Amino acid sequence: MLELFKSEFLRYRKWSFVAMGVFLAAFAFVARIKPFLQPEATQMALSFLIMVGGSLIFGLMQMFLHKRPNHWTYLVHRPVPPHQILLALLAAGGAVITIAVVIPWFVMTAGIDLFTNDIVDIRHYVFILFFLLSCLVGYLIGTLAVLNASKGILLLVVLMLLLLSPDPVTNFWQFFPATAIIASLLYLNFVSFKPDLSKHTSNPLAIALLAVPMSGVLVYGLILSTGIFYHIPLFVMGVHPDNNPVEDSFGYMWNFEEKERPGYVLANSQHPKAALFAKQAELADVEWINTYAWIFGRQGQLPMKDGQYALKHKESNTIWQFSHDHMLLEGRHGISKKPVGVIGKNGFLAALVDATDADRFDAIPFLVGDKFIQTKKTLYQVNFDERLLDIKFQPAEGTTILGPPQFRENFVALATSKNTLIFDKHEFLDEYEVAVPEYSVPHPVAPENILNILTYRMVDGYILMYMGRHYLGFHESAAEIIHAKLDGGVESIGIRKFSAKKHPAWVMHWEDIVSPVMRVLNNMVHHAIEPTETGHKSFSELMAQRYPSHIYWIVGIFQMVSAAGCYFLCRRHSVEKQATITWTILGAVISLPAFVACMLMNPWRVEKTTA
Amino acid sequence: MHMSKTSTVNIQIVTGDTRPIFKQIVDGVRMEIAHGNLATGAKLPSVRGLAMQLMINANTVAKAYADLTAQGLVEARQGLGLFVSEPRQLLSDDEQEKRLKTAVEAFVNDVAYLEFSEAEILARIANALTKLGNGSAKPHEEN
Amino acid sequence: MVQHCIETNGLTKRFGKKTALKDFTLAVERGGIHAIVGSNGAGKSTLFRILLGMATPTSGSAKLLGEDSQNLSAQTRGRAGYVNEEHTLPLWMKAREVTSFQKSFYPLWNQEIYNSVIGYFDVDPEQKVAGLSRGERAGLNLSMALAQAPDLLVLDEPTLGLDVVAKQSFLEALMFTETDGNTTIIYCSHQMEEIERVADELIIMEKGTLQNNSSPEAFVERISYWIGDFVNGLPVSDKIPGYLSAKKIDGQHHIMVADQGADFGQHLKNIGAETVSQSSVNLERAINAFLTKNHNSPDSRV
Repeated sequence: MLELFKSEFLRYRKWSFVAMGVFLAAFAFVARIKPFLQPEATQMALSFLIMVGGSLIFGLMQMFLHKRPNHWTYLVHRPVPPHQILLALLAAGGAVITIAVVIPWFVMTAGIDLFTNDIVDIRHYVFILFFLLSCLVGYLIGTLAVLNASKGILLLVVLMLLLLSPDPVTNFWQFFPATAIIASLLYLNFVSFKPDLSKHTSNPLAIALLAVPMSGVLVYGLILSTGIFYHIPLFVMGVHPDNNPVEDSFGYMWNFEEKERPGYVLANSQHPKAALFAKQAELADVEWINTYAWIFGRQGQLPMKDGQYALKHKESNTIWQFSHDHMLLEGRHGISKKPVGVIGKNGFLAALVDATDADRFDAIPFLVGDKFIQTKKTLYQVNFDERLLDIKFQPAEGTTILGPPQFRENFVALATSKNTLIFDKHEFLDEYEVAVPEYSVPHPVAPENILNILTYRMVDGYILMYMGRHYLGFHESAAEIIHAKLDGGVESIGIRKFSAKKHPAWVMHWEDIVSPVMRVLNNMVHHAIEPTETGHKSFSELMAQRYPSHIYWIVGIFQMVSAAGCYFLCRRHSVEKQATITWTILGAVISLPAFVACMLMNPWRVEKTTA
Repeated sequence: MHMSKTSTVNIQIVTGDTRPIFKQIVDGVRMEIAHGNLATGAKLPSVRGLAMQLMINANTVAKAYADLTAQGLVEARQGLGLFVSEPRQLLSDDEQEKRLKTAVEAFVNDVAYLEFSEAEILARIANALTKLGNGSAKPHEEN
Repeated sequence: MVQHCIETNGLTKRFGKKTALKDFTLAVERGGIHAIVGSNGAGKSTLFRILLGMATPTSGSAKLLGEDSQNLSAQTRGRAGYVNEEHTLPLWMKAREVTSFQKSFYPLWNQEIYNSVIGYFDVDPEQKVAGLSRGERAGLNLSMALAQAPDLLVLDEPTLGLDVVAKQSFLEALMFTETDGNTTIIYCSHQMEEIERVADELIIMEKGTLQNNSSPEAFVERISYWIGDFVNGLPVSDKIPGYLSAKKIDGQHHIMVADQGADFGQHLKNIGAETVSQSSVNLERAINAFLTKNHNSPDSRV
C-alpha cells in the first residue's frame, strides 16, 4: 500500500510543487498591494474558488484517470484489498493538496509573523487548518463524483456554503461541520470503491448519508420549480401579481413612492393627525434604517469573518489593529511599522507590556469609520490627538446594541435591543462628550420582526414607518407609523394590517411544503452553528408556526407520493430489500427532494433480469 | 551409454494450410525418414527443442510425436528421448493394397490428360523411385 | 483442487436493449493455451470484465479459479494475471521503478523468470514508461505478468500493433519461458497465424454466445466446403442444413456448412445441384465462415 501511495504521489509531485510556487508568487504579489492578512472579499473569494475549486477538479481528474476501463483493471486487479488501494490514492491526493495549499499560506503567515510587526494571532494559523479542511471537502466530493455511480454528486458542492457562510459561535462549531462532512465523504468514498463501479449504492447508511445532504441541495432546485409551473405561466398570461399588484398585500406598498406610503398606511387611521402627517410626508426627507441584529466578532474567529480591519489616524499616520490574542488594539506607524502604543477598554497605554487583564476588551468589537470602537454594551470614540478613549454611548443595563451606527445624511441611527435611537449627526461625529440621542423610540414589536424602518423628517420630529412580513406574527404582515416628537414623546399614529397575499398560500409556503423535515433540519443545523442569527429559527420557534390547514394536507400528500414513488422506483430496478426500505422511509420523511434523490441515485436504464 | 547427438529435423510448417500443424510435423518427419535424412536410431529433437525451432506450441509437437510413436516410426528410450525405429512393416497387406490403389488412381487422374506416352510416364516413375531409394533402406520388400 | 480456471454458467449481460453475453456457459480446463476468437462485439471484453469482477452479470454466474467473480479475494487476484493490447502501465515511472513497484505486491515473484523474459526485449530500465515503444511496453508487461507466477494468465490481443520483431519475441517468450507451475493461458487474437501456432484449444465467441470449444483440428473437421452447380439458383438456407455462408463464383455456388457428413454432397444433388465437388478447408476459412454466418453479407445467390 505504501508503494501505491508513493507511485500515485510521484505522479503528481511535480505539479503540486508547481502549484505551490504559483500560489506563493501570487500571495507575494498581493502582499505588495495590501496587508496580506487583511481579509478582503475578493481576495478571500478568489482564494477559496481557486484552491477549493482546484481541489475538487483535482479529485475529479485523479479518479477519472483511474476509472478508464484498462486503467481501472490495472489499478484494482492486484492482490491488495480495495480499501487499501483507495486509502493510498486518497492519501497521495491529500499530500498533493497539502503541499500546494498549506505551504503558501503558512509561509506567508509565518513570514509576516516573524519578520514584520503586523498582528498575527493564533487564529491566523488556525485558519490555514480550516482552509485545508475546506479543500479536502472539495477534493473528496470530486473523487466521490467519479467513484460513485449516482448522478448529481456534484450538487454536494453547495455544502461548502454550510462551511463558509455562517458565523460559528464557537471553535467547535467552526470545525465540527467540516470534520463531520469529511468523515462522511470518506465513508462514502470507501463504500463506493469496488471493482464494479457501475453498481449503485445499496448500503442503507451510505444511502442516507448521501440522500440527506443531496435533498438539502435539491430543495433549492425544487423551490425554483415554482418558476416553471407558476411564475412563468402567469407572466405569459399577463396576470402575474408583480405586474398586477394585489391590493392590500404587503408588496402593494411598493407601488407607491416612498413619500406616498404613509398616506397609504394611514388611509384608515382614526388618528386626528393622520391626514396631516400623510401630507407632510410627501414633502419630507426620507431615509431607511433597520433594527438588524449583527453578529459580533468572536475571539479566535477565522479572519474571513473579520469586519473592518483597523482604525487609521491620518494626522499621525498610524494604524490601529485589533489583536485577538491580546484583546487590545495595537498601533503601528504607517511607514516605519514601529509600535506606537495600545488601546484597551480603559484607554491608551504606551506599550503592549503595560497592559493588564483589566485593560483587555471582553469581546471582539466592531471598528467603525476612523474612530469608533463598538461592543454590544458600549460605543467608544477614540481621541487620537489627546490619546484618550471616550465613551460615546452606553445603553442602560440589560440593553445591548444591535449593530454599528447607521450614518445617514441628516442623522446617525443606532438600534439597541429595546429602542431605535436617532442622534444629531454633527454632535455624534465631531463632539467628544457622551452622545445623547435626540429621539429614542421603543420597538413596537420584537426587533427581529421589523424588516425595515422608513424615517420621514417632520416639523416637530420624525415619523417612523415600521414594516415587516411577520410584524404581527408568522406571515402576518403590517406597517405602522410612529411619531417621535422633539420633546421626547412617542406615539403610534396608525397601523395597517395587510390581509391579502400576493401569491396563493401554496406558492408562498412552497419552500416549506417541499420538505418540512429538511426545513427544520436546515434551521436546526444553522441555529446550532450561529444561534444569534435570527434568520434561522430554533426548533421550538418552528413548531410554533401555524399554516393554513390545506397546506398540511398538501404536505401529507407529497410525503405519501414520495414514499410510493421511491418504493416503486426501487421495485422497478430490482433494488435490494434493505435499500428499498431505506428509500421508502426517506421518501416518507423527507418528501419530494428524497424522491428526486432516489431518481438520481439509482440506475436510469432498466435492466430486466430474465424470467 | 554415451549421449547421442540430436539430429536435425529439417521440416517446415506452414500456417494457413488445410492440414493441421501436428499433421504437417508427422508428414514432415516421415518424409525425412523416407528421404534418409533421419537414419534409423537417430535422436529426434526434444519436444521443447522442436517447438522452439518451429515457433509453435510444445503441446502440438508432443501430439505429433505421440502420433509418430503410435505409428511405430519412432520409439521412446527411457530417459534418453525419441529415436527413429527400425523400419518394419507397419501396415497390413490389405491396408498397403488399399493405399497403393488410391495413390495410383490419383496419379493416373492427374497425368491422364497430359500428352506423354505411357512409356515416358513409366520411366519417370522408375526414376523417382530410384531417387527415393538412395540413402535409405527400402521400407518394403517385394512380396 | 480447482478443476476449471474459468467457469461460467448461463452468463447473461444486457446493457439496456443490447445483449453483450447471452446464456454463456463455458468451462476452461487447467493447463495449456486456450485461444479465444471472436469478432468485435462478440462479448469478449464483457466476459473478462465480469470474470475479473469489474462488471456484474444480469443473470448467471462466473467463477475465476474456483471463486465467485463478484467476490474475488485479494489472494485469488494475485494468482490471475491480465494483459491486454493497451499494456497499461504507469507512464510517469521508470521501467525499473515499475518493476519493483509491481514486485512488491506479489509474494511469489520469480526474478529469474522476469530476467529471462525481459531478455527477449530491449528495454532500458532507466527510461520512463511513457518513452517506451509499444513493443517494449508489451515486453515489460509480459515479463512482469509471467514473473508473478500466476495460475492463470489472460492475454487479450497482446500483440496488436506490435512490429514483426516484437511480436516474435512476445510469442517466443510466452511459449518457451520455463515457469514453475502449470500456468493456464487464455490467448485472444484475430491473427490466424498466431492462433495456429499457439492454441491447444479453440474457443469461438459470436454475438455473446459460445460457438466452439475444442481443439483447432476438431473444429476444422466440423466445417466442410462444397461447390455445386445449381441451375435454378441456390435454394433458401432453410433447405441447407448447417448453412454458414455461400458465394457465387464463375456461375458455381461455393457453400460452407458445419457439422455435415460425407453424404452432404448427395443431399445437395437432391435439392437441385447438377454437379457437386468438395474442397478442403483451413483454420482461417473455417473460423471466418463461422463468424460471418450472422452477418449481412451481400447474398450472391441467384
